[in-house]
Amino acid sequence: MKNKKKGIIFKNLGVKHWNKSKAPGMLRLMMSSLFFSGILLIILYFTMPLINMPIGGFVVYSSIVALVVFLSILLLRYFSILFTSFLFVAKYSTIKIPDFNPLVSIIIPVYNEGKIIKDSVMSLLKMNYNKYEIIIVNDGSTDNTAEICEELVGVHKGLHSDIKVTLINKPNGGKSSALNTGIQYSKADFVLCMDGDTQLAPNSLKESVKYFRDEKLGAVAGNVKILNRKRILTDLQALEYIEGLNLLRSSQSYLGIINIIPGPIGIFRKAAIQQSGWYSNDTFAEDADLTLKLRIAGWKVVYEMNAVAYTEAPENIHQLLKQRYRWTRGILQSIRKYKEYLYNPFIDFGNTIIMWTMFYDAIIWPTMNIFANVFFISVALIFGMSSLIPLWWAIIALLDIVSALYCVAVEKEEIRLVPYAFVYRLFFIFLIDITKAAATIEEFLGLEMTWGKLDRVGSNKTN
Amino acid sequence: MELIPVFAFIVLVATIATFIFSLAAYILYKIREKRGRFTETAPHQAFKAELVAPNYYYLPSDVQQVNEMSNEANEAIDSRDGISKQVENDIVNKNNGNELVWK
Repeated sequence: MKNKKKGIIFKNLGVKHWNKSKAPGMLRLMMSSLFFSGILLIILYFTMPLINMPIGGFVVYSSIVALVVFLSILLLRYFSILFTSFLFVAKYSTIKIPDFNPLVSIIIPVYNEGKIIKDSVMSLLKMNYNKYEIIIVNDGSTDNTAEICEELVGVHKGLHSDIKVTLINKPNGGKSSALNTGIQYSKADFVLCMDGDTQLAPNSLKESVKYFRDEKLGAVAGNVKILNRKRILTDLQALEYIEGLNLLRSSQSYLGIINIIPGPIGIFRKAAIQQSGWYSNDTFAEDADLTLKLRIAGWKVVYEMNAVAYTEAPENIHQLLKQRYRWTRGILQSIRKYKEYLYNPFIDFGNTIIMWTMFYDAIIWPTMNIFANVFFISVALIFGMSSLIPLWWAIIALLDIVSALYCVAVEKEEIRLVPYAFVYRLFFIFLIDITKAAATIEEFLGLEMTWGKLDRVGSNKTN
Repeated sequence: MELIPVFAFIVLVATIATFIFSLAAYILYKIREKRGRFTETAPHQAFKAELVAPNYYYLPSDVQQVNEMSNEANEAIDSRDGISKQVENDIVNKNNGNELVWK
């Protein structure tokens, strides 16, 4: 079948350029910082004379109290998530939702992803669903991605039907622009937005689309897993995705407060995207931004654990930290965009909760984790209590092992990931949290950043 | 339990940290001001793209065509409504209950 090429013009939807004159904001930040510092100094002035113990004893005593507070918060958070996640799984396992079979457009934005786009499209042709098409949006790639994608254009034999694959070659405008272009071109009422490096499990569409029988539902968040495993760093990320991200998302889904529809797999009602204002390019986490916009517009979001997307994870520390740095700054930018919900619970209390959970996960928890590790270990070493350090590590590792076992059981994951829990919290998450803290400081200081592009290695689920 | 010393110590650390951040923020702010890095960029209202599609096109009503479509393509489809109808017909018309034909 011969393909045809044609020029078309798209609207530049959802584009909001940053107001980069941040001087007033920075001045406000500095003034408020100085104001609170002054209040702290006054408190300090009145409380310091009340301390009547030697400095060594005082530091040890303080650290023990702080440790108890930290562990209480850790356990409270841990069991809250575990319990609500369990309730989600119980509800998920017992409620049967009838199938729904509308036409769905799968939008794949690609930028220099020639190595892996073919595997992604091939995985989509095996979907256990019969009404879908594939729209690849090449966002001005500088390598041979356009040629490879062009070879994929056509009508292909799918599992249940013929699948049309279309390509749009557009000038580089970022992922949000590429997604908006694909959605704009689609004529379906529902779109599945994914990444170019992602491969979907066969039941992903079938399992997620059925929720859209509920007309108030704006989007379904899928379950992201790591594709390229069998390396220490990617295995740790595989554990993080199931224990850190998916567990949290199932808990949030039960409570109705999902705050991020993951970029590798999000299924949307097109009307909800249009009403919410499309993907924006003024943050580095367009998925978090759109999720918040959907929530603010009043749309519901649910999580479907069987809508699985396999994505390529960074294979070296540098790429990993670069990715997490971008995620953190993007989330903070999204929080800043809708900060009125953070401050004012009277606008929409549900959205205030969502904003605070994001804020907690992005800033408060990483800061506490770093502080706890550095502070307690330093105190233990300096004041001759180094025997407590292994105990501290054992408590944390035990929690993570139990949590990992639970997640592996729920998601039918590889049991070999569980031993990674021994080093997960104290080393891997500590590293990630330091990156988050650095990204947070830089975001508050308004330092410029660029997207950065992960180096693709071209893994294949079928290999 | 005597909590005042604990709070006092936390406050002390927070105070010092806040002051350091304030100072660093101010220095970086001055550096940025000097460099004048922040300039507005003009948003583009629309952009031109290339569509590569198999044997027929469909163009939603809010997407403008740049080039004339060939007669053949025009016959196949010329509007969003047309393609809606065509796609629906194609998809609903199943062969043997399972097979779908897209043509």
